[in-house]
Amino acid sequence: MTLSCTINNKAVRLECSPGDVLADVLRAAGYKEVKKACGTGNCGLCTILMDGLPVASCSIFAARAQGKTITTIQGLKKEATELAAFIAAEGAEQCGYCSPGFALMALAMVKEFRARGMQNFDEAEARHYLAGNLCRCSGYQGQMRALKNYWESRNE
Amino acid sequence: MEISCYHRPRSLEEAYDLVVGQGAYPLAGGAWTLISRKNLSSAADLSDLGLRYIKIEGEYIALGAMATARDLETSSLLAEAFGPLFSQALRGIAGIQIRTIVTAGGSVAGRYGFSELLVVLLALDASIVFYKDRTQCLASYLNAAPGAPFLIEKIIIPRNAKATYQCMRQTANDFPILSICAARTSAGWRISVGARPQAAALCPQAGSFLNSLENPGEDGSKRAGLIAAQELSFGDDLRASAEYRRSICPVLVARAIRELCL
Repeated sequence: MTLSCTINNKAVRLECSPGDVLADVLRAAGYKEVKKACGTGNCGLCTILMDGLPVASCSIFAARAQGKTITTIQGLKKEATELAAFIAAEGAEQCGYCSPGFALMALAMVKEFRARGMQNFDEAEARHYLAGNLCRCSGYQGQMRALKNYWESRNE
Repeated sequence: MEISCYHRPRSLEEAYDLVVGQGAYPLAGGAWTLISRKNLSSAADLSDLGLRYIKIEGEYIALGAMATARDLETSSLLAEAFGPLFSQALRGIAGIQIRTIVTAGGSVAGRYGFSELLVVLLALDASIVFYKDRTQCLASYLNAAPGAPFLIEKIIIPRNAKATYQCMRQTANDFPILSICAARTSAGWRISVGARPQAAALCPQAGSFLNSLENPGEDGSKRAGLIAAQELSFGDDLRASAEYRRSICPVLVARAIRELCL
């Protein structure tokens, strides 16, 4: 089957089978920034935005992308590059394998928190929001510091 | 996994014909179906049926079968009716990335033992509206053996109940070891227990005991917890033994009741 959707602001057509997983189809189409590890939706590496909402692309049928707007971390390059500087400053990138999914989720979180009218960075809420993004290296402390610094830099 | 014949119906009538008439496998969120990796000869994708909604229908709140766990978790309508109940119960399901996929209808249809949503819906005395002409209370649905194919249109919840949720997990986003919901409905107390690890079940004796009290208080809450633990069966799985589950059940039930009486 052929899917028509928008990926990172470009209209594309993807070839897939009905039983295919979206993460596999995206990677086969060259979107290698979409990582895949657990394959069960628990690690967050494969996170994408579908119509603006975070989705584990390893746990959704590719057919569900029909007509949707998909954003990978490459589609948020400018914001992700800015965030990456804060992550690197805290030594929180470590091996980097989780970074695309983590950064995408973090940017979605910031956008949602702003939409809710949140003024101050709420670490407990951030930890909850990012609970679906596992990192085997960092212990999350550096990531939290980086996100707090990033958040506060946006307020300046 | 392989799906030999994939359908994407545009109407409930078309979906009904595929699922009930022709035996196609109904694809709701699909996350658990993917994990199970079973091959399907025919599947009907339910995502174009307009069933992703949460709305008031008279004395009920209706959850469309395709409303996601994240929809329920963040719904202002549900928060207004039931306080933080849905948010507290559903925020432990994996990550947000999964909660934007899994659906109310899929959770009910799957009768999953680990389902936080089933525990809450059971305590709230929810009913399932099957397309096209049948409504069944969730309690009787869960007690009945799986039968002929069906198509869930929505789940309806009476708006007049108050409830609280308690659970125990090994880690924050793992499946629960045990989950509890205590509710006060127009018909009285309803205590449900899930992740036993079997699907959620009601504790009618604990409910009757609570109904006999004017105010449960500390002692009544504890006693109701002990009654609930005695009237239910528990099992072993990789997360906990039956004995452990039976031990923590009274504690969680008592906490849920106390919280509701505050």
